[in-house]
Amino acid sequence: MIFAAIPYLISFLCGLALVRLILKEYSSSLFLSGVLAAGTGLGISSHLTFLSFLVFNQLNRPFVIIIHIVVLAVLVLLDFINRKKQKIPVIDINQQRVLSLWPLGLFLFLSIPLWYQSNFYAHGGWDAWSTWNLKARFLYYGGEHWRDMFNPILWRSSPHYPLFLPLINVWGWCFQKSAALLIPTLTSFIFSLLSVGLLFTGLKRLTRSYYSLIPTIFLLTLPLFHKLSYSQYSDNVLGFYLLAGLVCLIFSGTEKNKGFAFLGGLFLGFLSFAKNEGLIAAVLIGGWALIYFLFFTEKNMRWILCKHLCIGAIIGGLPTLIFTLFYAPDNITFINALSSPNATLLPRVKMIFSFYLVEMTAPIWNLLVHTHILKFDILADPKWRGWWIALVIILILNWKRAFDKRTIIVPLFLASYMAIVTFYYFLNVYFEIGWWLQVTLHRILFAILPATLFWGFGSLWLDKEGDNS
Amino acid sequence: MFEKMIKNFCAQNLFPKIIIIVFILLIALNIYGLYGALKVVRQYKKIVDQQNIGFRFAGLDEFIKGERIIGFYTDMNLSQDRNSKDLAHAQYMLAPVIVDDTSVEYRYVLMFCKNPQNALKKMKEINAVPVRGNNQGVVLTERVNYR
Repeated sequence: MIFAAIPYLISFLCGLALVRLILKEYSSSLFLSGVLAAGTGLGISSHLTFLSFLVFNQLNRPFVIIIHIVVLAVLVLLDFINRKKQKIPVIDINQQRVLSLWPLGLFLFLSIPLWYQSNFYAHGGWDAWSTWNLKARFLYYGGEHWRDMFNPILWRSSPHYPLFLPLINVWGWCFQKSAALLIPTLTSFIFSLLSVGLLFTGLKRLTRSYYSLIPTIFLLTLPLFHKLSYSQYSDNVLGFYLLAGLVCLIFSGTEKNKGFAFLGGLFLGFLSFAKNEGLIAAVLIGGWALIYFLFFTEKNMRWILCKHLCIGAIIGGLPTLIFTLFYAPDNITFINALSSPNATLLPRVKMIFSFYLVEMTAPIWNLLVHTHILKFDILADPKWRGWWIALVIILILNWKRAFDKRTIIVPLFLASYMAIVTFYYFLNVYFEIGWWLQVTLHRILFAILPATLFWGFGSLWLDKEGDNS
Repeated sequence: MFEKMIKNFCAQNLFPKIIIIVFILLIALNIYGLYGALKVVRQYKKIVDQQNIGFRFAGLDEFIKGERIIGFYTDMNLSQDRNSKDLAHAQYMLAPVIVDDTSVEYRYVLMFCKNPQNALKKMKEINAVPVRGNNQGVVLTERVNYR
């Protein structure tokens, strides 16, 4: 267990040093800095592990460990010099700041059931053993033949998917004798806690309300959140970086903080390497953020924020670029509906929207079935606990704040992202649409769940314009 | 802090108050749902300590070291989820060796058959001998004189 914790600790320290260096004002929120540091650190580790495959064409454990130590040493040194220059104490821990971490204790306590289940389902769900952890095993055991994982024979394992999550697991295994099950379990558990922590601390910073605990505890106790967390899917990672990117870019605008813009860009880069949807999400968030900076921020900050966002995104997205250009095979699970003569388009559209309706309005659907207003026998699983209905009600009754310019990136992103995802469901006729929607739609929605909770609850307690910025 | 939260609650408008109450109830519902999920895991734990997948194919990797691809033959329909799950388990357990379900033109062929007669028939057809097998329908075979 101690050896399992070492790589995560190194990643966290790397991230912490970088976040301290970038945000500078980190003294204001230990919790937020900690969560962003862990997310940044894991991203750095994924990239550094990927570097081993670029340089040596295989996993070179000593190289990966040494490069981590070198990067950590350089970042700590830079942070030290920077703090000395600015006359800020290198370590600033007082009782009040430590006590402000009490929600972390609460979340850890509430996550015991999640750990209990994660520990039992140690192999994760179907996509864990058939895709993400399989890729990690190719990277770890494959030597110089690691690229065999791109072989079209393995079409069921989506060979074109990027490697962010498998690389983090491989980094974790660098301190193990074999590909221990504990590492993917821990990785997934950490990302779940990070999503929960970021939702709380992000909302708390935006609204200054301790009621931020409500959506956070709702998320942490949601059985579906547990299921998709112990399943060890990359959607968990996607959900965290999506929220992290949005939160940082919102704060960069509201607080005129170029450090947050850089971190936001970095997270978008990580997001693009997590999954193919992540690349689309990263481009959309980045695009909307640039428009937001150009039109809604003060003149003197516009270009600074845009520049920092772009630099962060380029650094974070470099592995995506290399992977896409030189390694990723073509997506062989795609047939264009528009050029396919046998594709039946209208029933497909009906099917897609029916799935959305049943998935997102399950309690209403079930009520209509129970009262025989709907002549169906099938009941929907109310796995979202009515969140999507609640969100719609919040948006209708609170629309002014929900579409406040400070958080406008979130609805713009969600609308454009869901439009593209829906269009892709329509366009790709490779899979039988009913089966495809059944196994993937809830995961798409799961990835945007923390961001929608942030948006919905943020709008409830958002101060009037100007009070909060 | 809780005092502050209660004061804050009283100061809220009706709509956020309703949302807070509704979500507290939903959290209670979540905890009830989690209790059910944990009970299921507890039941499983009475039989096995941990989820165990791919056990049918465990240990076979020892015999195919150095191979990059092996063949896979089954008498089951791989388009059904249940059967394709077994193929996924085999692939997961044997990685980084690729398990090719479309061909038997390899030195080693992994056979996974419901009916052992089908495996025997295929072995004769491709001139293969068993290397390792188990009572779960799995036989790792090696083709004689394969070049």
